[in-house]
Amino acid sequence: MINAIIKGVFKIVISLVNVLLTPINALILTFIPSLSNVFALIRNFFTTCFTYIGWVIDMSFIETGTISLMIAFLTFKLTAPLAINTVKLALKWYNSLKL
Amino acid sequence: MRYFLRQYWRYIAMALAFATFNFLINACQVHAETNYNQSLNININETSNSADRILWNDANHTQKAFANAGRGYLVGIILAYKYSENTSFTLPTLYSVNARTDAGYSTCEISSLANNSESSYDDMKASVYGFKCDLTMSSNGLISVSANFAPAPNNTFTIESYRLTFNNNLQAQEVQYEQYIYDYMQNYLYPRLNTLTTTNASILSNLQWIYSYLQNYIYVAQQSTITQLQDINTKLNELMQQNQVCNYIDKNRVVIQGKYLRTDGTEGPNDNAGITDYIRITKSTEINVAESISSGSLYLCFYDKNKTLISCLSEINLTGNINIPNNAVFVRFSIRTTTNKPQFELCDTSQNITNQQNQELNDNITSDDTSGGNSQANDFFDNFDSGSTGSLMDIVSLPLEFLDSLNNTCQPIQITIPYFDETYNLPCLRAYLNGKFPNIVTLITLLINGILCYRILKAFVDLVNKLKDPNNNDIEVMDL
Repeated sequence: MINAIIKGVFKIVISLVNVLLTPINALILTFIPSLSNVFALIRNFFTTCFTYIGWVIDMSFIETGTISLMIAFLTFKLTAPLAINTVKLALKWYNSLKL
Repeated sequence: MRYFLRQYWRYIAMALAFATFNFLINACQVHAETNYNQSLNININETSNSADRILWNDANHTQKAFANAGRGYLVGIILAYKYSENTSFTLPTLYSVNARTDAGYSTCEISSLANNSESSYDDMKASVYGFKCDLTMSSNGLISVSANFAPAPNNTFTIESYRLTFNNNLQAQEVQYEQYIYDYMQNYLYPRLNTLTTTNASILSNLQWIYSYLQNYIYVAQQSTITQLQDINTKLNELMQQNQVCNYIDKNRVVIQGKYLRTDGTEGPNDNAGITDYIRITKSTEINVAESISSGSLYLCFYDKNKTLISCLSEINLTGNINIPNNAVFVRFSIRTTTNKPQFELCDTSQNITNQQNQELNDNITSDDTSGGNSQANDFFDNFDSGSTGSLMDIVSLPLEFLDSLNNTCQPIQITIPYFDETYNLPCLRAYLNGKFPNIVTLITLLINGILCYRILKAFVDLVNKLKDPNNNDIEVMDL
């Protein structure tokens, strides 16, 4: 259940970032196609590495429950502070303007 | 021995399981031989978890002798169908065709000729596949072909296979079917003939026979007001018209032996004659009396779309080009069976090939100059571009993909040592060690995971405390 939610969050984040980066990607493809190839090489390298992660984790004796906890924590750390601190910042500005 | 069993019992168990599995598969498979133009009924049991197989050879129910060494093509159509008592059954899917020659097995290309397997018909349900085998013979030898179907449990269905012909490479000029080369173009069988002046009627009649058979079959389906099977019609029309030739009517086309057609359409006895099946004709069809036979017991009758008799012609009316009634859709011929020579020819006038085109076709086919192909192949590799492009998104999303990949299960890694050409398997270490030192592995796992969980929970509590501070609203770069 937690994994499914986390994967859903990943997809939403990836989609949003993709929308933001679309014009930049179009510029790179048009004017710097070689850079685009480099991006592809980097992606392929890491994709190859990621295929062995299961083997490495197995070797490190880490349980799947621990991994889920780790992923949940990282997701929380990457999303909650941004939202909460943004609200805090907005309240701070509001108080400053009110004075 | 005890040590050996203790060390390798898993491998022995796996080997036994594999052997048992193979035995069960073989036990469930239906092995049967069928003539290439005969149907075969196959019943697939619910427990069958593997492919059912049909094998076929030539018309004499023996393996077909390949006339010469070399390379050639074997092309055919496989029709799987069932007359529908109900619509709950599933037709089998052809997933492979294999041909065997003295040079070994060859996997053949297959393609669906009409994707109608999910449709139901009042009369029948069918799936039609074409196949092409690229064969190499080291010497004069034999060919047998097998087709493997995915199981469709609890169903009895009929499979018919039609082997059109094979050629024996370009230099094999003495073989029986040297005039014909069959090629495969996308989703339909494409006959490519290198001469249009052949008198080898047997192959043409085979092709025409299959064509007319499927035409009838399409007609049956159309009576159910279902039109999806028109797809076969279209493709077979393409098949026939791409390089249209006159298709000859000879004794190979006879389906009723020892009878002839009277001028009133009835059948009368004649030991030296035979009657063909209903052959579909179109408005562009031209029927001629073959030059080689100018007289004899020749008759033909025209029928409408319901196969109702329109009119018949006797030999005294048969000269050269024959007038076809406007509403004629089918024709039946009554011909002599005492000769191998063609007695009628059906030509399609819609797409005649000129002598010049014919010569060009011959030149192309008989040319053994492959420099153009080599040049293009070299260019392809010299200018090879994988077409793989990346974007910023690929880089930005890498951390997320990393997190996602953490859930991957362990797969043994295969490592090939360069220069020694030896492959080693690196097993999943935890499972391997767990089998040897289970207690130690449990202890290490507990320690590592305990420490990690403690650190994570501590970091979580620290983070929450930090967020609770009303004066702390710093947004870290990592958060962004």
